Amino acid sequence: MTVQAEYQRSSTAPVGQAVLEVRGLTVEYATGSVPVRACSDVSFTLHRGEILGVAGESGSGKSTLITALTRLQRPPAVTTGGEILFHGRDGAPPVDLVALGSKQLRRYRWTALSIVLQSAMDALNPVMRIGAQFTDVLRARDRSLNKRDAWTRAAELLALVGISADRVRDYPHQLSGGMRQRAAIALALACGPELVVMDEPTTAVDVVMQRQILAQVLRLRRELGFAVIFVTHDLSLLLELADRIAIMYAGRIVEVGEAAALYSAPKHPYTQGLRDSFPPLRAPLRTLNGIPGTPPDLRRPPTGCAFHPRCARRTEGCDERLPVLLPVGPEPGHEAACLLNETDGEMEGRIG
Amino acid sequence: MSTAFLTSWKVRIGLGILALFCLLAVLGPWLAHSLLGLDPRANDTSVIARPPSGEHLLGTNQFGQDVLAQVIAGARGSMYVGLLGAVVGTAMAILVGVSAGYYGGRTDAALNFLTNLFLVLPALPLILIVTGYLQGTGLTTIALIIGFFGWSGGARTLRAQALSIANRDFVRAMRMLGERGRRLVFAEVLPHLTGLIASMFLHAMIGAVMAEAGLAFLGISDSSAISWGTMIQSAQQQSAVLRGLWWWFVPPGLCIALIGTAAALVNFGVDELANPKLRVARPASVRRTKRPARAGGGA
Amino acid sequence: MTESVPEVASAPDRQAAQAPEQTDAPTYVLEARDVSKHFTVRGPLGRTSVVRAVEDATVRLRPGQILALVGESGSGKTTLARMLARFHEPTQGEILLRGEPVTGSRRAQRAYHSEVQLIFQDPFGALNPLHRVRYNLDRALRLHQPHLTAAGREQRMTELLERVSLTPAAEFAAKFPHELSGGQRQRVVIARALAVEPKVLLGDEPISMLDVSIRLEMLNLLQRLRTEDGLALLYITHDIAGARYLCDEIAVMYAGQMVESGPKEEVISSPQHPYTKLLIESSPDPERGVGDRDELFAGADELGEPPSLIDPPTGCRFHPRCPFAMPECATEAPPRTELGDGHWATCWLHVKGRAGELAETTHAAATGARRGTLQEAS
Repeated sequence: MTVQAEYQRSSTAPVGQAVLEVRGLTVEYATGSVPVRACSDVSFTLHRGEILGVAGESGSGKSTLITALTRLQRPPAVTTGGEILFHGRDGAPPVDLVALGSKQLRRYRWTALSIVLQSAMDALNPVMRIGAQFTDVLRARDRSLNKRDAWTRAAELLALVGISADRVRDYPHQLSGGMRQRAAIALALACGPELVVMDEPTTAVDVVMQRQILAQVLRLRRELGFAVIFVTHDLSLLLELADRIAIMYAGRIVEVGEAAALYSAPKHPYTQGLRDSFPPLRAPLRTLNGIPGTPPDLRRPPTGCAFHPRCARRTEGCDERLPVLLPVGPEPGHEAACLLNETDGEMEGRIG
Repeated sequence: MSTAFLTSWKVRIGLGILALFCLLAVLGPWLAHSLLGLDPRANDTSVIARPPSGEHLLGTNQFGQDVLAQVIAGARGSMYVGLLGAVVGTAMAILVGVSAGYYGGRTDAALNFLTNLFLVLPALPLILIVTGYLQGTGLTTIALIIGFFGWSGGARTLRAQALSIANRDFVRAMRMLGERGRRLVFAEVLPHLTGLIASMFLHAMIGAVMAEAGLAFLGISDSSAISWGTMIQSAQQQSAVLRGLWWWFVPPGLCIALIGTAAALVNFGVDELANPKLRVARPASVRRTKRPARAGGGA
Repeated sequence: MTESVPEVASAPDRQAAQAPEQTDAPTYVLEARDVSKHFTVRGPLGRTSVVRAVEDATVRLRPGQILALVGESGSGKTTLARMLARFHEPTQGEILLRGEPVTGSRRAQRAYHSEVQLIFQDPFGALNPLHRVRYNLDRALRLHQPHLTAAGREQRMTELLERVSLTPAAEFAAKFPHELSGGQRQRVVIARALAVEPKVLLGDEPISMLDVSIRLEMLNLLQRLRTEDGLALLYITHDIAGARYLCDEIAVMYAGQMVESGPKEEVISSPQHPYTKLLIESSPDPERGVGDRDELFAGADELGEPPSLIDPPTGCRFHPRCPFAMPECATEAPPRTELGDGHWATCWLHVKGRAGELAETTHAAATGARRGTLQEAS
């Protein structure tokens, strides 16, 4: 199959190598007199073929992070600091996406990095047939591709996500919501990207369709080997899907770690609160309280740890010192930014 | 909201000009008579069709009347027709448009038919016929006729808006509480249309001022009344343009143009205020989970 | 944090106390009996078609009971709620309040709404942005508690705001909706509904638009209203785990029809309709472990989609997606099978004695097996 061939062409790089390194990324909204910092000093590494889940409430900066990563942000959002290093498959030195101009960026869109939005209606042109939109993307990258081959490829791509080939000639509105979302995923995979960023791709669909989409993403990831950044507010969903999870709060990553470890032994009170915000499906019921209070107003962020006004375990210094991400727990790569972790041993008894 | 509205320089200038003309309409005759000692109707045969001078600041017309005094007196006539016409037109538009949009069903069908009928009726010939039929056309009659024939466009816009607001959840919620229809219209639906209605009213006012001038130009006016329209009409009758008596027709024309500009300026501000997109962009409403997060949008 | 929920445990006792077993039929505060709603839509070429949004649905609510209505979007659950809120008249069937059929007159509507109130899904749309919180509550009190004096209303308003945890009440009363967060707005919406002193609340996905961390507080608030005021609640949702947390019974809708209903733990632990089974297996459940992800998602690639309601499948509407489908499923609508304890399902498996198969396999596995057999046969 051509799509697989596309990936095999040069995917000699071993799994486990970094595909994206984000270092100190800071994004501000330049509205009003004081710029609003929607993303502060965000750093993480994404490995080849890995699914990184990013979870957080609205206002946590997760959407801002995505638009900054994909360089789709528009004023008033401005990347004011940091770098986004992209490692190509060819072993060439990494490229800093922040420094690229729009023309250079075009070389990386679709082929290196693509995006799936929450609403497929936003990504698909309502007045173009599905196949024509695939053809556009495919031929923009490979000018030698003739029209007929491009349409064939489009049908192949749709088949990847379980949409029959005769739907190629349909318009987006003729597809159901779930099918549109799957078509958007197929479109994102059209040029064999190494990284697909998904912004709440299943929020607008029902649970059954959500499960189908997740199953397909996992299968395609296995077959094609791309990495995924999956952004959602639904932590319970990430636990089933992601390899690693990063929790964002008030524009910062407050905890990051391997999915199972983060779920079973969260090291940040916010992560724990978020985890306990989802009632269980089968486990015995108990009173859950979610997290009291509301997310902070980023125009007037709290001092110290941004979570301290809502935190049940705040101690001295939480309102003064800004905690940094430090390794925690037995699992490698598990990091949390909470002062409770800095006082050794005490944490074990308090969280988890 | 109101402070933001007033900080716009366009709105300030526009409102300033409108206020000036309103003041002129109210105080004008007293101003001309007591302060300047001018009478717009007095014929001074010694100064006929004189250009502006120290004695007659805007010159005199063919009949030896002071143009400045006439412009001041005309302000009252024109503004009266403008305001009355706009009030009548806007009131009818609200009555028909909002009722049609809010009540829907058969009421909507009937009122919508009426609106469409008035939209396609050739207003000018009808006005000519009606005024011909009504002997003796005073300014009030003219204003009423202008209002009566000029509501349909506004009604259409209001109907569409009222229709969408009447189907919003908050109206449903208040209806579920047992709020009665009339109150729902006045307390829940209408306040959302104030921006639109204000802008419609301004449009209607310029429209009425111009229509009055136009009708007067065609000879449909009360020849004894003084308005900018009648001034232009008599200037035209006396071939003021051909004879180069520019001081006769330029001042009233300029006044009409100024009112139009002022209304347009205020309208810009109203537009900014009434544009729902600007309301959506408030930070408070960014905190939704289920809305599609657009690029740069809901952080 | 780990103690059990007293409300949940005590719920059945409360109902027993309020509905003594003197009669065969328990006293229902609100009942929709075999209601259907058909919408006529006009196509682009002027052709009309009928959307069968709800067909023969029956909902019964006892005082102090929380019934969750679960289904995918387009399953008719919102239409059913809007019929119960009297925004739509049922095409067929009737709605009964305390056993009395409700009529369409304006006065009857008003009386009805003094007992039944709907909580909207979108707290941003349900409050007029131009009115302060005070106005909303004041109007509700004026309309429904006309005997109250101004001071009495003021006091009641404070009580209501405190009831929904909006304190200090005076401060919140003076705010405009845009000054409130989503959760706070939804609390105002609930307080406004409570001002009416209703007996039944209809919640149309009342928490789905709120932030994750706030949802539980909202569910706890609804739970409290039930235990303290004995309110009946119809909770419409697509989130089964949330429904389980809050409700006593679950009713499942598919393509406009009710397919299964019963006590929540029974429905979730042993679903008796293939669709319920699919819905539960599709819901994320962190507790089932994340050991082997490929196994977890095996066969979930193609689970199908709900049918069009303009031209729904004949027989059982789920049969095109059902891995257990038999010939009669395509031709005849399945009868309702009572399974005891108020649990029932409409599925041919029960009639044909194949119900045991439901517990033995998963939807995905059954679909896979069925495909295998079909391929062998051909």
